[in-house]
Amino acid sequence: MSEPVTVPSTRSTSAAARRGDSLADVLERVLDKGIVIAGDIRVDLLDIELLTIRIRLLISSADKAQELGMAWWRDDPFFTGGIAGDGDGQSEGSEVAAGDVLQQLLDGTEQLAQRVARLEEGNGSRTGDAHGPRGADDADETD
Amino acid sequence: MGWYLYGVTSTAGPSRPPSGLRGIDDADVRFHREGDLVLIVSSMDRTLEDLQGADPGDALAAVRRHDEVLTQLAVAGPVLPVRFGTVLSDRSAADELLADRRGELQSALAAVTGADEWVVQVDAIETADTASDTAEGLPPGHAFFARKRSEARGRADARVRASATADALDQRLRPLARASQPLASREPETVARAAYLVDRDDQDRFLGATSACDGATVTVQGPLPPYRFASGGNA
Repeated sequence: MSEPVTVPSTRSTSAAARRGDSLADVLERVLDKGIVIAGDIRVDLLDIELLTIRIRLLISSADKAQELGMAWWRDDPFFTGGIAGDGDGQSEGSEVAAGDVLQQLLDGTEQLAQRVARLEEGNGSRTGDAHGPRGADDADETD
Repeated sequence: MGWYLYGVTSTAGPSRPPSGLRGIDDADVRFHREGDLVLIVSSMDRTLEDLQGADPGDALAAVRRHDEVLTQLAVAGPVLPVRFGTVLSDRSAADELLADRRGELQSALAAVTGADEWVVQVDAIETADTASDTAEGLPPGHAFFARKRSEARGRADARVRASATADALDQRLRPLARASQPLASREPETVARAAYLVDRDDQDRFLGATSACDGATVTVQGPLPPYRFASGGNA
C-alpha cells in the first residue's frame, strides 16, 4: 500500500473543496467508524457524540470563515506582509484553533481600521473627487 | 496509566511498529501480542474525562493522530481500526480483551486483511454558461428569467447525467471490491459517494475502472485503513 492519495480521475476538484473534505473525512471515519470495544468495566469509551459536537463547532468556526470568504486576511498581501497565503498555509487553516482565528481577526480589524483612516485622510485632501465621501459626491451631482 | 487502543493487527504483519511512530500525546506506539493477535496501543496518562474536557483543538489533534497511526501501520500489514476514544485500564485489561473476544477480533481482522478502503465520490459538473444564446434578442427582464430558467435546467441535466454515470460506475466497481457501503453526501452537487473494500491485488483494476467516466467529476480517495468495514458483533 502506497501513501494515501486523492486521485481526481476526470477533472480535478477545486483545491478548496478537497481541503475542506479531508478534515471532514477524517472526522467522519475516525469518530463514527471502527470496531467498538465496550461492555467491559475495564474498557473506557469516550462520549463520542459530545466530542464530535465540540470538534465540529471548532472546525466550523475556522473552516466556515474560509468557506464563506471571510478569511480575507490570509490572502490579502496587505495583511500578510506582501506574501499572499500559499496552498500549504491554507491547508493548515482548517486546523487553526479558534483562538488563533480570533487573534487574526482582531489583528486584521485593527490594520483595516488604520487603512480606512489613511484612505479617509487621502480623500479629505482631494475634494471634488467623484469617488470621494458622500458629501463631496453630492456637491458634484449637478455637473 | 491506561493503554489507548488504536486497532488490532496480526502476527502476519511486522513484528514491531516503525521506530519513532508516535501516538496520542506523543507516546510511543507499541504492539501487545498474545497468540496471533496484536493490539496497537500507546500509554496514556490522561483519563478519558481529561481528553473529553480538553480544548477541542487538542481532541482534534488526538483524532488526527489516531488516524495517522492506523494509516502508517496499514501500509505494512493488516489493520482492524478500533473506534476513537477506547482506553484499556491496564495490561491485564488488554489480556482480558484478547481472551474474551479473540474469535470475534480474528474474524473481523480476517475480513479486512489484504484489502484497503477507497472512497469514490461522483459530483455533477456545472455546465458552461450557454444561456446567453437563449437570452439573445429578448428584453432585459425576459432575458434575466430566461437565463435563470436555463441555468436551473442545466443544473438538473447535470445531476441526471452524473447520476447515470455514478450508477454505471458503481456497477463496474462492485465486482472488483470485497464489499461496499454507500456514504452520505456532504455537498449538494454530489450525486453519489461510497466506500469500497478493495483487495490489493485488484487495486489497479479498481482504479482503472474509475478513470473512464464522462459527464461527472469522479474523486477517488485512498488507500485508507478499513474503518467502515471493521465490524464486530456489536458494530
